[in-house]
Amino acid sequence: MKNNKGTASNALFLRPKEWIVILILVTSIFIGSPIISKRSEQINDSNYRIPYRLSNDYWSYTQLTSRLSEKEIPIIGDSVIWGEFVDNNSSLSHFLSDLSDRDFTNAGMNGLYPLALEGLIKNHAKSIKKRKVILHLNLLWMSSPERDLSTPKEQTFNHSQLIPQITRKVPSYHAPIEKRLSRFATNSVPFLSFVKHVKENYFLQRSPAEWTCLQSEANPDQYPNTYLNPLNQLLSADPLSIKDQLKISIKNTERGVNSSRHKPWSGSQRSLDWISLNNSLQWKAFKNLSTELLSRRNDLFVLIGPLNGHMFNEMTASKLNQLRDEASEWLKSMQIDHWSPDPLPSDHYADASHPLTHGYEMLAKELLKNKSFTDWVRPQ
Amino acid sequence: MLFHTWTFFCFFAVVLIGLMLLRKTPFWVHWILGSSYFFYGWWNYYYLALIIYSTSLDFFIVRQMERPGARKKLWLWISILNNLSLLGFFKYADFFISNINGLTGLNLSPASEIMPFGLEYLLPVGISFYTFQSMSYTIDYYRGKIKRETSFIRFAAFVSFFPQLVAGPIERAKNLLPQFHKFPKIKRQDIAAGSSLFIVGLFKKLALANYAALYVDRVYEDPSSANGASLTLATFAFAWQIYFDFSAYTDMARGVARIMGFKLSLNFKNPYTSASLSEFWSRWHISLSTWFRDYVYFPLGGNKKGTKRTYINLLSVFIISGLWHGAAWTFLAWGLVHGAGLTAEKALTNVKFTKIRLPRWVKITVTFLLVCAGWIFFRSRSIDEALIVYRKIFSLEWNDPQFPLFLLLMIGSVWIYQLIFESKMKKILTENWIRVPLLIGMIIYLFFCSSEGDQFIYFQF
Repeated sequence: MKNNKGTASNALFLRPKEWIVILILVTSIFIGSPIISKRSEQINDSNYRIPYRLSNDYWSYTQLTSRLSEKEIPIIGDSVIWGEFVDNNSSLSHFLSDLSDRDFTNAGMNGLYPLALEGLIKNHAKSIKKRKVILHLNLLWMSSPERDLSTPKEQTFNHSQLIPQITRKVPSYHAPIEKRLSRFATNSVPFLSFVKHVKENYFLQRSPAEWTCLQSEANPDQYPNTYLNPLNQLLSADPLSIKDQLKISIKNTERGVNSSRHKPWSGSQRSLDWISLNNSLQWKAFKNLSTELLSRRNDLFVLIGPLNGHMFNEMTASKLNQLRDEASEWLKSMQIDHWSPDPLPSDHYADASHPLTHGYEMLAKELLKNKSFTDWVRPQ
Repeated sequence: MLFHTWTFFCFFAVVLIGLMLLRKTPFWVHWILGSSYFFYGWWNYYYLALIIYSTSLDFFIVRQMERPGARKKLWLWISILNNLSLLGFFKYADFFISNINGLTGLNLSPASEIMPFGLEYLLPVGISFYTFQSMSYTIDYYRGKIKRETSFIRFAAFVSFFPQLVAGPIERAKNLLPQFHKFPKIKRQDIAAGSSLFIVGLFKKLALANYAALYVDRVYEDPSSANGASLTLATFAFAWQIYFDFSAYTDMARGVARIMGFKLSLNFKNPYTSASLSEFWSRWHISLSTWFRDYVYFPLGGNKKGTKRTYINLLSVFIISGLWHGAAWTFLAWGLVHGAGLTAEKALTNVKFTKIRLPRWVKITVTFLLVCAGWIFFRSRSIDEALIVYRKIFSLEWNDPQFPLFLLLMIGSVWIYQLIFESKMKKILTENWIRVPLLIGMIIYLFFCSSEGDQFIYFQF
């Protein structure tokens, strides 16, 4: 302290030994707080899936995958697996569990695509190893250069935190270096992912400071959190209910058979600008992900589609079949069990790829009739 | 490149590694210079041309001054005019042109239209800081206070030293230049103290300044629709926001420099514990106030040429200081408020009734209120807007200000901490059981703060 006399405007100078104490304590908090929080946030629902509002909360995904029991089979995928138009009790994992004697877990996440899925599993689901895993392949991500993220034109898309930030170039991703470094750090340091979880889950994706300044959507002149203590929010068992009382809307969408969105697809046939698998970034990411899962000694089963073939014109459908065959070829060459079912009836889909409740039920039944799947799923 | 970014952390790690590798060679100064230019060019590499030009010219001018029979005064004026022209063109040209156009009805083209080679007309970051630093070198040499720096690399490193390049503190050659003559001894204590300073600065910026800004921006966005209570509290919050923001940069700059073994001057000394305006200016932006004192106030005669002249000098210095902060009438008005306040303070010193002994806390409160009265001009976008704020505050049509309680708690805690620091109880703050948990709390809380895209207020100056 003597060294700093006359040059300090505060008394917070620390000696080297004190810094060592601080570093030890901060590291303990880094490691300890996610563990404590994990214990306080239990998942008791067998049909649990990552809530829609936590679709960017990768820490929750880590918790979901690390809590899997030995017998549970996670189904990994995008919104098709998560169930964009259905409720928790109507996704593929639910029907598979219901119709068989095995437990399947919905490990899908809304808004994913193979490039993001690769990052999610590599960085946030390290506990998925040495177990049976179903991986979904949605070929719709290869239906145009834009969806494939291989056009040089900048695009805004979901889960950009999960795609490669530094190691690989994604032509449609033009984030500045600062954002890339920040995202890279959040993917690499579990505590940062936990911090993001706290913000997502307790503070409506904001910092505690921003949360106290939040404007009411119902009445823009009101700032309902002004006099609240953000620390209380952390202790709240159900942070959402408080926000409901405050009339701060949480962007969510209706789902399930009774919702207006749950209706069969109807419309004219479309053509899509499929890109070849050789040039596809998404396919490359899917291959990387499969290889990663195999290297973790997982027993992998890949479900390809089924896309809503009724929606495509003849040329588009034939190109899709070609891609399916190529994908199957590669999976075969890697000795990965897989199945590529035919499209479900058109009224079982809500759009090009998402089944409705009866679509998932039918798909589950078909899967359980498929020999390669039943052989694979049988306990060894 | 901002201090609180991942980019800076990576940059600084590389700089430190390079510095340590080159410590036994003469190239460590070149390394610092290269790093500083890289740091500065990160904003816009066109800026580099300006800083290199300004540095080269002042280095050359002082060399010319040293020659036998040199017309020192002429060279000094060339240096001053050159630096002020740079500042004038990039910072004030549009302000003067629009005012001349307004007053005379002329239609002079804005400065952006006379930029050569189609270059964009924009204010180079930190130009007000490095031109002042460079100018002080020529003036101090002229006055015989320092020796000429013989190495251009060392001089350029002094002008562009990256920790303090864009927002100060404005260093004097006497303090900083000698530190480039020998590789600094980096002790463990330097790293510990530098890290402490950096964390405190980071906390001030991310946890406090940015938080206060949320409320201030909301209220000052449209003062005409805000109520008196909101505007009053927003003004108080702005007083703290600008302190946190600017002193945060200085703390981080001093911290970064200290980790590299360099010692930069103290720039803020708990200014809101001042019991008078003159005390406030001895605690606020110290490197700038002393610059104006040494290079403007004293040459004008200071307080040596009679009472009337002293008042004129004070007012002039504060008007210039206001304009230094920005090319707008609001900044000039802010300077005028402080100049008038200090003049009044000086004038009242000898009046009998002012000698009544008031408790220090009353004086601190009054000083804080006066400073806040000035900040209204500083924060408002126009004089008219500032007058609306004043009118609303004094109208007493006050409603629920919806000022975040948590923010009040944080600002209040800092103020109490600073008051204790300035009191006889200061020793308690040096206790481990206070400092260590406080630092831990700050570090943990920092992770929960948002940091994307937060500029520092003083960068615009």
